[in-house]
Parts: sequence; C-alpha cells; structure tokens
Amino acid sequence: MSWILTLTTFLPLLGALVCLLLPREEVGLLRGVGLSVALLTFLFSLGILSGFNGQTAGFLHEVDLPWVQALGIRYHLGVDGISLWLVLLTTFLMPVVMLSSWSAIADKVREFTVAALVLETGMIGGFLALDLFLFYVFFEVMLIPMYFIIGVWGGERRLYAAIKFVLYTMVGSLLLLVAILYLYVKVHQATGTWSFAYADMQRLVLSEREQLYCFAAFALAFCIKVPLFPLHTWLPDAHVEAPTAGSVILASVLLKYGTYGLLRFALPLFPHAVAEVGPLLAALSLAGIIYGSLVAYAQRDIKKLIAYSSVAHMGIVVLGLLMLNTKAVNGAIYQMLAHGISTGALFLCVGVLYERRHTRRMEEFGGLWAQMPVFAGFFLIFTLASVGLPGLCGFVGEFLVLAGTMSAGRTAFADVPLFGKAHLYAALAATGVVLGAVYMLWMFQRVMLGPNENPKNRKLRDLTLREGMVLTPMAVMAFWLGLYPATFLRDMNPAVHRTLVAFKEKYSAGAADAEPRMLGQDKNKKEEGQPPAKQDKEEGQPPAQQPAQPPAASPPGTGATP
Amino acid sequence: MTVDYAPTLVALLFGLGFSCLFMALAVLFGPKRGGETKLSPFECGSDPIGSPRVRFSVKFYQVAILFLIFDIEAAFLYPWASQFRRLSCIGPMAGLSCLGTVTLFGFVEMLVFLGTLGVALAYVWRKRAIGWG
Amino acid sequence: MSFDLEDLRRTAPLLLLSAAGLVLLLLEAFSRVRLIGRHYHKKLPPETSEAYAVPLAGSRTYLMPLTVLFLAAALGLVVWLWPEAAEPHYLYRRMLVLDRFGLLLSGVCITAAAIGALGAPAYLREQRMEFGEYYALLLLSLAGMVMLVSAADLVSLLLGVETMSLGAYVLTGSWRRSPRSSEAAMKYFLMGAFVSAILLYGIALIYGSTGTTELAEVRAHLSEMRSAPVFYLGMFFLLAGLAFKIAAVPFHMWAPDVYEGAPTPVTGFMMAAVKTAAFGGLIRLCVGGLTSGRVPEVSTGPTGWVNVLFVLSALSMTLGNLAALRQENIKRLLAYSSIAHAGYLLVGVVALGVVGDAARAPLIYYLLGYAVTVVGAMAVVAALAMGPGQERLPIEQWAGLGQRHPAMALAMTLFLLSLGGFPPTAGFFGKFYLFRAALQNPSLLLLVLLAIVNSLVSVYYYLRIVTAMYFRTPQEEEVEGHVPAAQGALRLAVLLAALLVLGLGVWPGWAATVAEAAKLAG
Repeated sequence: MSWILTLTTFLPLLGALVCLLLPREEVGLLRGVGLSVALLTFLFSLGILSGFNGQTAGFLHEVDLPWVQALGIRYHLGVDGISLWLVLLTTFLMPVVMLSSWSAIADKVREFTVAALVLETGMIGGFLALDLFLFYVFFEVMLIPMYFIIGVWGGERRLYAAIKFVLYTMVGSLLLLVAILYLYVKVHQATGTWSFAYADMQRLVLSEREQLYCFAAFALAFCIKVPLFPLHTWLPDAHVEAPTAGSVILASVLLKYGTYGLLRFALPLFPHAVAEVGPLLAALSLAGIIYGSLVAYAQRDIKKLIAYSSVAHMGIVVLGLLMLNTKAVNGAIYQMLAHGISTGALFLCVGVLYERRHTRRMEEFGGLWAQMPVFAGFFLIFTLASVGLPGLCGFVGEFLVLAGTMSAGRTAFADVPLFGKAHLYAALAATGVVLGAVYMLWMFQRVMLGPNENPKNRKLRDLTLREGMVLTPMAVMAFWLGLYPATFLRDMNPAVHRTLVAFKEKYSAGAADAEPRMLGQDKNKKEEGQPPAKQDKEEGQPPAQQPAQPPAASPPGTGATP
Repeated sequence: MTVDYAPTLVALLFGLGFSCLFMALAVLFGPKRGGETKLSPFECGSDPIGSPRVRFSVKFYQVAILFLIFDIEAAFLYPWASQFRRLSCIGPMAGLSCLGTVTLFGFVEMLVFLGTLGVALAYVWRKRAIGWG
Repeated sequence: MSFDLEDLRRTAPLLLLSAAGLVLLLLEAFSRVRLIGRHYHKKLPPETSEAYAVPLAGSRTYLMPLTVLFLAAALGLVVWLWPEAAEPHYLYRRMLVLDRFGLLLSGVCITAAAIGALGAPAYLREQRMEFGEYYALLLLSLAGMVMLVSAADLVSLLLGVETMSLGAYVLTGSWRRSPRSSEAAMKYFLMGAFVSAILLYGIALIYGSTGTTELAEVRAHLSEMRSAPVFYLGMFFLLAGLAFKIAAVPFHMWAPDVYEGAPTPVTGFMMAAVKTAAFGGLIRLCVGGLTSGRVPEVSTGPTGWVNVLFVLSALSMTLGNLAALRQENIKRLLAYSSIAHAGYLLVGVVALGVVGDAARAPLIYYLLGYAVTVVGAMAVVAALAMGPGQERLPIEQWAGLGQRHPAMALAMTLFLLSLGGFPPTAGFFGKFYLFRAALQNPSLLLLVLLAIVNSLVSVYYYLRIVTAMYFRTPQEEEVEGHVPAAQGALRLAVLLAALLVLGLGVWPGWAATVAEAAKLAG
C-alpha cells in the first residue's frame, strides 16, 4: 500500500495538468473535472486509514526513495496518527471548497481550478513528508497558489493582502530553510552521511545554544503560519480579501501547518530550547487567545471577526502543544480538526451571505432567521461548534487542552521546567473560551435574530441545493467530531504518545556540549560513518495500554441543538 | 622586491627630465621674432576660409579604420616570416637548417590566418565598405 | 616547433564555433536580401508599413536554423569530448586546458545561446533590425567564451574575454534604429575597453612578480613570490576586470543601461552566457591560479581574493536587490536582479576558496539554472513586444497578460519564481545547493544569511510582475490587429527554457551528478 500516499498526493497535480490542457471556455467541464479530482482524491485518501488499528504509533505506508542521491535528499512519505487526520481533513475539505466556489468563482475558472488542485498537492504532501527538504518544498509550493487565489479572486485590497501573505510566510520559511540546512550540515558532521531524514534529525543532539537558534527559526516560521500573537497581522487581511474558497483553505488547512510544524518538527527536534522558551510561547499563545477574542468582539465585518476568532482558537492549539502531555496534545490536534471544520464552515456561510448581498458588514443584516431558516440552522450549528458547545466539534478539543493544561504539572514531564504556572495558564485560556462564546453569539444575534429591517434582506433566497450539499457534510463532521471523538482519538493517541516519549528521551539525554552527536550512538562510533538502523520507529509502541486515555467527551445526547 | 624596479624609475625620470630640459632650453634660448604674417594660420599660401572644423564623410574614417586593421594584421606576417623555419621543423635546429622532420605546420598556420583575413575582406567588400558609392 | 593534431581534436567545439561564425558571416554577406516588409505589415496602417518596408536580414530564414544546427553540433562535440576530459589535458603549450569543468560551462553557454537564437528571428523581424550578422557574432562571441572557460593561461584568458566581449559590444549596438541601443553599445564598449586595459595591466604585473602567465605556474610561484605588493596589485586588477564582466557591484554601473538598451535576445544572451563564461574565467583564475595550500594569504588572507570577493558579493546582492525594488522597466529590473544574482554566485566562489572543491558543483548548477531562466525570461519579453519599436517594458503594460497570453504569462511566472528561488524550480535548488556548500564553513554563515534576506527582498519585486500579469486589468487595448511575434520558434524557445527550469528543479539529481563530475584541472 505504499503507493497510496504518492497517489493521494499527486492525483490533484495530475488533475491540475489535465485542467491546464482543457479549453478555458469550458467552464462547466473545468468545474466538473476539479470537483471529481478532489472527490477522487478524497476517496483514495480514505485508503490511508487501512492499517491503522489503534495501536500504530509509527509511520505507515512509508515510501522512501532517493530523490537527489548525491545530497541525501529522499522522497520519503509516511503517515502516522497525527498527520492522518490532517490529511483527511484536507482531502475532505477540497471537494467542499470546489463545490462552494461553483458560482462564486465565475472568472478565470481554469486558473482557479489549477491553483486549487496544485495547492491540494502541496498541502497533502507537506503533511506526509518525512524528509525535511521534501517538507520544505511542499511548504513553499503551497505559497504560490494561495497567493494567486487571494490576489486574483480576492476583494478590494487583494494586492496588498496577497503580497503581505507571501512576504510574512517567506520570512519564516527562509529562516526555516537556513535552520534545516544547519541541521543537515550537523547531521553530516555527526554521522558522516548527508541526510534530511526526519528520523536522523530527531536523533541529532545539538548544544543548547544551537538548539535555541534553530528552534527560534523553526518556531518563527511556524508561528507566523499559526499565526501566534503578535505575528498574526497578515491573517485578517488575507482572510478578508481572499475569496470564500481561499478563506476556507487558509483557515482550515494552511493555519494547521503552523501547529503541525511545531508538533512534528520544532518541539521534538529541540527539547532543550522548548524547555527554555516554552513559557514565552505559552504566554504569547495566551495573549493571542485573549487579544484575539477581544479584537474579534470589536469587529463589524463578519469575516474579520471569524479571522480574529481563528487567532484565539489557534492560540489554544499552541498552548495545548506546549503542555507536552498526551491529553493536551491530543486536545490540540483535535482542536485543529475542529477548527478546520467549524471555522471553514463559518467562512462558507459568510460566503453564502456575501454572494447574496455583496457585503459582510453585520449592521447590514439582522433577522435573517425568518427569511432563510435552513441557512440559519446551519449557521447556528457552526457558531455553536466554534463556541465549543458540548456535542459539537469545538468542545472536545478545548476541553482536552484545558484539562491537559491543568494537569501539566503532574504528568511524566514534570521535570521539564515549563509547568510551574500551568494552573494559571488554564485559567486564562478558559477566560478566552468564555470570551469566544460572547463574540460569536453576539455576532449570531446581530445577523440572524431580531427584526428584519433592511429592505434588501427581504428577498433573500434560502440555501440552494448546491449550497446545502456544501454545508451538510460540514455539519455532519461537526457532530461526528463532537459526539464520537473516539474515532479520531484512537489512532491519534499512540502517535502523540510516541512523539512525547521521543521528546522526553531526547530531553533527558541532555544537550550536546560542543560537537553534535546522535542519540543512541557513542561519540567514538562517529568515524564508522554508518548511522544506526532507524530504531525510533519500533520503540514507543506501548500506547495501547496508555493510561492517559482522555475522558471521552460528554455522552452523546447532551449536545443537541436547539 | 620593489628595488628591482629602480632602473625603470630611473629611465622614467631621465625621459621626463630630458624632454622638459629641451623644451625649457628652446623657450629660453630660441630666437623669438613674431609678426602678423608669422602668427596667422597657414593654409598653402591662401587666406583661411571658414572654420577649421569641417565635417568629413564617415567613409574617410571607415577606410582609415579598415586600412589600420588590415595593416596591423599584415604586420603579423613579419614575426611569422622570421620564425618560419622554426615553425616548420620538428626537432633540433642547427642555425637555419632543420635537423628533424620538416612539416607544413607554419605554412598551414599562416594559410588559416590569411583565410580568416580573407573572410573579413570578402565581408567588407560585399558590404561595400571600401567602395565610395 | 612541435604540434599535436590531438590538440585540434580536443578543441573541436572551439574550432567548430569559430569556423561556423565565419561561414555564417560569408553566407550573410553573399546571400540575396528579399524585401518582405510590405507583405508582413499589411495589417499595420499604411504609413507605418511604408516606413518599415526595408530590406530585412531576418528574411534569410535559413540563418537561424543553421546557427542552431551548428550550436547543436558544438554541443555534440562537447558531449563527445566529455569522457576523455575526465583527466585534464593541457593543449597548445599549456595555453588551454581540456577538462570537464570547461566543457560543462561551454555546454551551458552554448545551450543558453541556442535557446536564445531560436527566439531571435521573430524578434528581429518584429523590431525591423536589418542585422544578419547577429548569428555570426553570436557564434564568434561563443568561441571567445569557450576559450575563456578553458583558459589555462592568463593570456588565453584575456583573449577569451576580448573575443567574447567584442561580439557582445556589436550585438548590443545592433539595433541601429534605437538610440538606447547605440548608447548602450558605446557605454559598454568604452568601459569594456578600459577594463581590458586594466586586465592587461594586471596580467603584466602578475607576470612581473612571478615571471609567468600560466595559471598553474603562477600558483606554484606563490611561495617564492618576489614582490608581494606588485602581485597583489595585479591580482586586484584582474579581479576588478572580471568583476566588471560579471557585473558585480561596484563594477556594475554599465549593466542596467546595457541590458536595457540591447536588443532583448542579446540581453538574454549576455545575462546568461557572458555571465557564465566570466564566472568560469573567474573560477579558473581564483582556484587555478591563486590558491595554494602553502601560501594561503593570497586566497584567505586579509587581503586575499576571498575577502575581496566576499565584500563584492555582499555589496552586489544587497545593492542589486535594493535598486531592483524601484525599477519600473522590466529589462532594468532584470538587469539589477542579474547584479544581485552575481552576488549570490560570488557566495559560491568565496565558498570555493574557503570550503574548497565542494562548492564547485553547486556553482556550476546555479550558473546553469540561472542561464536557462534568464534566457527564457528574455524570450518571453521578446515574444510580448507589441509592435515595431514598442517593446513591452514598463511593468504596468504587463497588466492582464495572464488572460491575454496565458501560456507566456505562465512561463514568465515560472521564470520569475525560479529567479526568486521558489521550489520546485532550478532557482530554488540552485540556491539550496549553493548555500549548503557555503554553510560547511561557519565563517560564511553571515554571508548566507545576507543572501537569504536578500532573496526575501527579491521576492517582492519578482512578484510585482506576476501581480501585474494576473491581478491587474490592462489599462489600454493593444494595437488593433497586431499579431504578436510569438511564432513557432520563439514559442519553442520559451517552452524549452521552461521545461529545463522545471526539469532542473524537479530532478536536480542528474544535473548535480554531472556538475559533481565536472572537475577543475590542477
């Protein structure tokens, strides 16, 4: 089954090439091809699930082929419980996005389809790459199509937003490139072989100072992407100016790259730096939660409000990741999925409104409930999901993160000097969650409830069949994530556990003094030049009997919608 | 060392010194008998008409440059001629006679050179750069 | 006087290019000129058509295919010589050397010239440049480049530089209707002549202090050098001369004017091939002549060439990029970007001095990637000209091209992304490969960081063009009924360049392997 990852990754690219060859007048055909390729990719991506049995901690379906032999660059893909759901989230969203832009994108349909499909390849590949060079390539490949999507089909200030998006991301990613190169050279110094392999990088032990610098580069790259306060300023611009499809992809998948990168790369590779600057990042994420919520409350533009709510929600994710215990990290990943569904769906809803009224200002709306009851129902579901009502997707993740944060001081990682004030963190984060309820419900009230006073809103149509087909799967997922988290946590848990064990091992092995060395390798073995077999795949198997199985969220039934 | 260049410096100074010296001598000791006729511009006995700066046809320059180029290239024949025997001989030489094998190397080399020159000439001719029309 | 026929065989590409240049010159001079002006321009207003009804050299349509054929043959000869060049062979009494480094760089220059030549006729016809010597000069200039990159002696190095430059001077000024072209040629020629004198002076000084002009001998004499100040002066002169040819700051003043004024295919040829060859010469000089394990001062000492080039590199990429930010004319923008790229490439040359041979392959790869990219970009600029004398130069005129010329816009985007260093293009891998080599010595970390900050700056102005093409709507309509010059061959050139840029980026392995094999003699 090793071909399944390659197939899933490159099928969209193939589709993009096909679209490029189609005549641009054939708008319907192009849309159809785009949608079918995205659907087909989703179907194939479901095949990735095979082999996951709740025990799998390591990487499955691995492909490991030489790409540039001379430089030790490999085409290495693999999937574990962490990336599994992110990939599925991506492939699940793409058909929805394609369908949602059926009428919203009327101009340059061919270019849009091509950009979206290339973007999908980049997104899937990035989650699967286990070679840092390959990861970087996919990471950058995502940038350009998104730049086009914002810049070509965006709103008034799209040029500004597009360039800002690219430059912000490039600052981070170029630093990331330097740090990756540095690690690559250090791996060579330690083992005598050139390698970008994730496994090798993970076994590389650097001095505390080097770790700090490299972590700074990695963290900056990913925190811009998250975006962590105060690096978030590109996000509102990008979200507001992007077309609906762009906003959905940006919020649901691209932001996840920040937190995924932190979890997969920045944290495990530099444990000592994490111990040192972790509290700072945690404080920033708290600041982001509260600041994002407050600013969201002040917004008049629905899309901007949702954009700032993303800052707050992603802050919770970062906080969870930094707590370094199974519960909180599981919660953080869960929150990533939930945010992908709920915020993506909210952007879709805003898109529906925008297509009808060509405005997103709250004061223009009001009392839409009577006019568009079906739409209002969906909108309510997603608002409540975003707020974190039990029974909907937002709850489980936030709960796990907060619970994990509370218990951070008492877990196996207590000797990591990060958790002295864990209770305080949890309390502050909880405030943010409460604020989230305030601004989201306030927004819902302004838009949907009250009297329908604006004459322009009197004749609004309710959802069309196509729009219903767009929002229904999202709603289903919102409920599924909220009501039966075990589906997702089962395979996530072992992988998280393995990551944390590896982190702990690397941390307790101590930092290097001056020369880089590899974990599980004596210094005098360096001359032999042969890196030991990749052993970290087999170790860290135990998570089946892992006691920290988080309390499954509230029993089904309590989260019924009004 | 830099000292090795001292003779060059000395030669330079001598050159400068002598030229200055003789000019100074001429200025100091030369007889100066100027008059209106002697100081006026001289143009083959007649009075100068118009400005001395006339525009020449570009053809003059063209021909001059072409002449210069071909002349310099032709000048290359002299060093070649002086080394012709050496160029044609593989092995030791005794005076002007070759003790080894005599080859056509020098001859062919010059043919190649002249051939290239011929191409240039043909090109110049076809482009009517040497005609006046 | 001994003479080895083998030497002739081993310089076959050089001889072929020279002979082909002469043949084309004669063909051009002796072939009949057809008047095709009126026929071609019947779509233009009558008065315009009359004005341009002139004999067109472009009408001799066989010249371009013949040139490309010759270039392909030269490339074939390069490939043919490749196996035996595994060991260096010194030729013509150690004036030239046949090694894989020289062969590969010759190959790069020839490839770039061939792609450029493919696109030239359409442009020349469009711009009414009655200039048939174009191809002959191209080939003769290439012969100079081949000599330059295989020079084993300062004299052949100078000869190579001169032959290469003479062709480039004339090509620059070949657009006789354009005052800018003449101005550019004048500037380029005058400064170039001055630089030749400086090069020659440098060679004389080095000869004075070492007693030889042969690079390997110079290197051997480093330890018994008799006069250090004179030697250093000579070295600085040589470095300055070659820095002029690669357009490194502060010897870059000519570049924007010349690159802007020259006919577009010539600009591409100069940015790609002339730069590659000049870098080849610089590497020959620095590594072959000025690096000695016994006397490291000449290379890595405080006044060694490594430090000189370090400073030039930092200046070039910073000033080049900053100046490019403010450009409104696409050729000037790419000219400044070319200065910046000279800076990146100099990082590689510095790394050659500090890290050693590990930086050679990245440098060659980068040169190849850059050459293909700029030739492609210039072919696109040439293809999008809007009529005689109306090139599409101001960036605002590129607005809306994404819709009107989707294929060309797509190709241009690819080239710009490659210049900016985005994966998966040749430009990205080249930068990565180069920085990887440089980072092997921590003392270059600063330079690499500077280069990376600079590539960030450069992204802004490369994306400005992309932005214009896709995000803006055109301000005015094009000339009614104008047929863009993008005909078969020009399209083919763009396609080839685009495929190479992508191919080099996606499968960099083969080119890297070839570059690794391209050892320097000595």
